[in-house]
Amino acid sequence: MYAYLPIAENSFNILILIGLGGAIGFLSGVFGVGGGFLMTPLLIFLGIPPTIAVGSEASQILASSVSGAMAHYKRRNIDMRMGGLLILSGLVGSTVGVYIFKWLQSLGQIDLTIRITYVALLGSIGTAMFIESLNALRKTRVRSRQKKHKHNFLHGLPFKMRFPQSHLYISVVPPIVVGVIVGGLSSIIGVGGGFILLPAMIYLLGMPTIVAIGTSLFQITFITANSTFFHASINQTVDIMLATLLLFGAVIGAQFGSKMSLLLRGEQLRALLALIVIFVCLSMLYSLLATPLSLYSIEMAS
Amino acid sequence: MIRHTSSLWLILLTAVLLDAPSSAYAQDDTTFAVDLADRQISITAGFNGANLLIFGAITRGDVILIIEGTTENYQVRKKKYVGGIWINSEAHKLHSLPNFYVVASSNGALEQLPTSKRIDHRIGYDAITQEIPTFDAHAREFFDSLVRIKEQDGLYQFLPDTIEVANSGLFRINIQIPAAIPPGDYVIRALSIENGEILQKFQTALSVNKVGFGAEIYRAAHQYPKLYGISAIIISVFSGLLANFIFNRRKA
Repeated sequence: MYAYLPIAENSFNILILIGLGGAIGFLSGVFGVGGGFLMTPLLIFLGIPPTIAVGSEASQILASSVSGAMAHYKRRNIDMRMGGLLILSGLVGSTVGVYIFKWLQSLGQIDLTIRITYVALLGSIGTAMFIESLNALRKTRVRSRQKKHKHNFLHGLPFKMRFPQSHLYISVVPPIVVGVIVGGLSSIIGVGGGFILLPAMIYLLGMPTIVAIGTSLFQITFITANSTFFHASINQTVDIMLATLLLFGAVIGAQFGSKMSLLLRGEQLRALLALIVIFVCLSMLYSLLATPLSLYSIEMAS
Repeated sequence: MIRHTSSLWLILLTAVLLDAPSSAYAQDDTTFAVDLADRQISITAGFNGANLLIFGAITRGDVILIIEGTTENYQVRKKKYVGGIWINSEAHKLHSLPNFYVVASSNGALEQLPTSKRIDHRIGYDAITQEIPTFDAHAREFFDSLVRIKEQDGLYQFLPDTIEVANSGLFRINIQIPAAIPPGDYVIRALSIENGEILQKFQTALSVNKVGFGAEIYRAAHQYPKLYGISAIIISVFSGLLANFIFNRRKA
């Protein structure tokens, strides 16, 4: 059974698309991440043009993060002041990102940029997560007393602001920088950015984990909505048919995934996620290094 | 569709039979007719390519069929091994190439025609762009690559000696239309050839259209991009909340 994707102007097996959504939804249910960083590369591997994969994925991440954000809002897990700051800077980042995307596309380098960015990001984050979770697995019994958060060089920066919900009194510069970068990545490589935002909020800004999760979902909802709008209005690359099919699979997969997550320990989950991240990174790296099947590619020009 | 086709066959056959006696004493009065089983290809929600049945009748000579879409400019890029990775590093722009091009012929028809006539009538890949005489080795390399990619996608097809002409003068050919066919208007030309000369020309049209919901989505995305963007956001938010509602309700 095939579905004709009206924006991609080609047809794809409907079961593969829903199955892909289901598999990624399952993983996102297990690990509590959006899964955009897995979905976009897989869509590109399937043969969906990178431009359409990125644009459509933004709208799918929006759909899958909005209910999580609502739930955290009800439980008051969102640091509104931090969220607002990240959203404002993220909107700037994601809007600029859409224009950078268009520029790279005209140079014929968007595909390469997406791949290299994935390799760099997934490689570093996957490795760090893997080491951290291995250490945690070894030392689960040993519990050392920790400060609420470590003080680092970032606490010396000016323009300090109080974030009562996160129990922080820090400079606004690091959140703004993080917001711009994550917003830009959301537009350029088609991810929600949770896998960058979360570690940045927890380790860099020193926010409590549960508030970081709620606030990042809150931020991702707004940023992906912005990316969706600009990808649709500037690049015309949002295929709502594709997004809906993926989403349909994803919501079902996520339900099974969240049940599965109850069976595993936190450190085990993080180690597994790290392995998946490293695997995607290596396959992207391979696609950059291996001799391509065809050296040539064509696109319509004006 | 089969019944529809066979009735057209009957009409054509009758035409040939009726025509046969007259051509015995009127040299110029030869039958040459071509038709399509369907003049329109509809891209529906489940579209995955189509078969285009072209058939006709010919009483003298051989037949060549050409299907062409609209012309576009193409950027062809070539990857090079730079610093350990493969990067698009060379580009060449080719102008006014058809986005879809098929040439098919009956046995030996193409070889009969001298190159000049093939160029004049846009028959064969070397006739599809006027830039070809100006090509250097570099341009040629990029052009050949474009043709190869288009052939892999089924958007260019070179099918010499594939049209079977029966003794009765009836012929037919089935062209595979890929799912990635660009929507738009197509021109189908047919030529009858004898001893290297073109006897008769025939032209008809084919239209490829998106229909139904998919067509609306495409139209909205391109004509009202801002509105489409906002709708995409609303649809995403709504479906996310709906999914959450359905599953949470079942849990409760």
